[in-house]
Amino acid sequence: MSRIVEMYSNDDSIIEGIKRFDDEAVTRLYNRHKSYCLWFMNSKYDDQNTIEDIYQDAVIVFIENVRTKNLKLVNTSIQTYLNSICYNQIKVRFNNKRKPVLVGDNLDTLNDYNEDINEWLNDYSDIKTERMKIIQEELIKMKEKGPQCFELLRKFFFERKTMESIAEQMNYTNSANAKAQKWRCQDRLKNQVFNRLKQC
Amino acid sequence: MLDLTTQHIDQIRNYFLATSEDEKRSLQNNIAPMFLKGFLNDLKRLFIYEPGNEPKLISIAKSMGASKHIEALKEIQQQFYSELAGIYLNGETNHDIEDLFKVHNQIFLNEVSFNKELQTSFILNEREFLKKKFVEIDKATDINSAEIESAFTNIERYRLKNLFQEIEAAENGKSKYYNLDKSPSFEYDHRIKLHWPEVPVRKFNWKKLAIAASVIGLILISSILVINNKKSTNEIAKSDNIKGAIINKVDSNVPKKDFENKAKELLANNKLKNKEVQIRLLKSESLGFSDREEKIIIRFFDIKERIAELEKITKTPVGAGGDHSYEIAIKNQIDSLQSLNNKYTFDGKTIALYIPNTNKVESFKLKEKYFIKIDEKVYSIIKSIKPTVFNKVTDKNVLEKIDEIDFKQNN
Repeated sequence: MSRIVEMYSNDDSIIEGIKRFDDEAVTRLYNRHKSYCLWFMNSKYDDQNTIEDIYQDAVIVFIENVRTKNLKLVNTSIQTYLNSICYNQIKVRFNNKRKPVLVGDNLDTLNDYNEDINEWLNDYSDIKTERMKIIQEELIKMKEKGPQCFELLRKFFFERKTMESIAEQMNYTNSANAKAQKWRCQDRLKNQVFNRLKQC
Repeated sequence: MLDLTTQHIDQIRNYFLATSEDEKRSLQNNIAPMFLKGFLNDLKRLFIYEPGNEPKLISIAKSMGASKHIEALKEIQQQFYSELAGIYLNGETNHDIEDLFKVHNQIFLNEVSFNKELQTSFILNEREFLKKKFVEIDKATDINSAEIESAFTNIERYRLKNLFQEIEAAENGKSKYYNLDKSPSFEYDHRIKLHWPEVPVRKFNWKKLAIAASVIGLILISSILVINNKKSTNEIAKSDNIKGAIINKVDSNVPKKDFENKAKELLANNKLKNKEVQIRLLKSESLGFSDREEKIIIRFFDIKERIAELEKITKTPVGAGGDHSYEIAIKNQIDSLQSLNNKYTFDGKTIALYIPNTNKVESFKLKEKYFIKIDEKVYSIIKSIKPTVFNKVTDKNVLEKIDEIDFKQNN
């Protein structure tokens, strides 16, 4: 554990680690800021399960922002960012009936990050549920039966790596071969998904 | 008479899968022969404006002497849409993409839609993964109140058990070995050792022996009566002579059967359990399909189970004066089995694998060389009756060829 603490001793290194999809950076992020966030929420809301849930969702929102929107923290810290998300979420749960009183925080900065957890995490609600569920299930099956294919598709669709970078990381001779393999894997997945959809 | 070769098809594929306009332009300029440039344009128009027009595709291909490459051209068409959909998903665009949107090319639009769904699936999977990960992190770094409660309960139970042991020890006095009678299932020498001190052996004269025998008899009978009335964790084995064995369950690893009998039985029954499956030998002498289907028999020998059986018996305490030759025999068998671990033999038709059974196994033949894929790892194998270590394949060209055969034969 001390090695992780040393590697990820400040906000910038944690953010860089998250961008690299390093699980150790995620662990460090989660552990480092949890007790303060929970203490902070505990004073307003005494349902332990709910506030832990809010904290986990806030961390997910932060991670996705870093990865997909290249979030940069200017004149603020990860702790403040997370506190802000949690603060907003508590306001939502209280329906703005009363303003939580905060001690020991810079109240001005807390309103800067107006991420609404529910809004962020429900951003894919317009996509048809049954079909999405099948795609997800087939992806998980692929992870077990064809981990190479899963990894290749993940790097392209989720980590948004270029084919050149994927070819290098996965030991393909060149990006054209990597592309050909990606297409085969995608085609295989499509066949599985549409076969299941036909049965529904 | 025009006759397109595989090389020409590769040039066409590279053109349609080129990522940037510059790359496309450069490929088109360098394409040879000249007639291919016209063919490229015809194909592109067809792909963009008439996506489902297969008769036209066949007609164009025929005119270029590419009839035997129809399937390859259809594949290139699909890959073309897939490639452009991927570019669009990354927030970029080009003329071809714009044209495809303008004409509402449905195949392309479906591809774009599927790509987006695929990306979303990964995001949703990742969220679930993160949630589970956070729970694991909490478990590793936090203790919840239920766990603390459970811990206190267990501590109290342990304390009470120890207390009961002390009570029993105080009531029964210093204890001894319970020498087992010569009942059919026990040998006299292999006494089950209890965690109590041994009674010192004494020599008696005949008179003293008679007095002692009657005293001992009385103690035995009263002990049996007391033990019968107690609720304890000890088991009483019944026999017709009521001189049963008392097995102390404090050490639950102590086996009931005699070590030698068990060892004899195990050593005699030394056939390894195995599972046999028949699978296709996938091969390709060229890049095309191969029609001939050959089968290979795979036999899995689970040596770990056998080793575990043998190791379990070696944990049985033999006792002082016991015969150690069985122990040595068992150890030799364990060593011999361990030397087989992760090896194989192959006679050209049957592969014996000394690994745990798995469903993920395939066999390949490439240019007279044999390969086996186990759990996504590829190994080259040779004919050998002597158990041989697996040789993992690292040559990228070979791995890609095998991947290609695998894909074509299984789809």
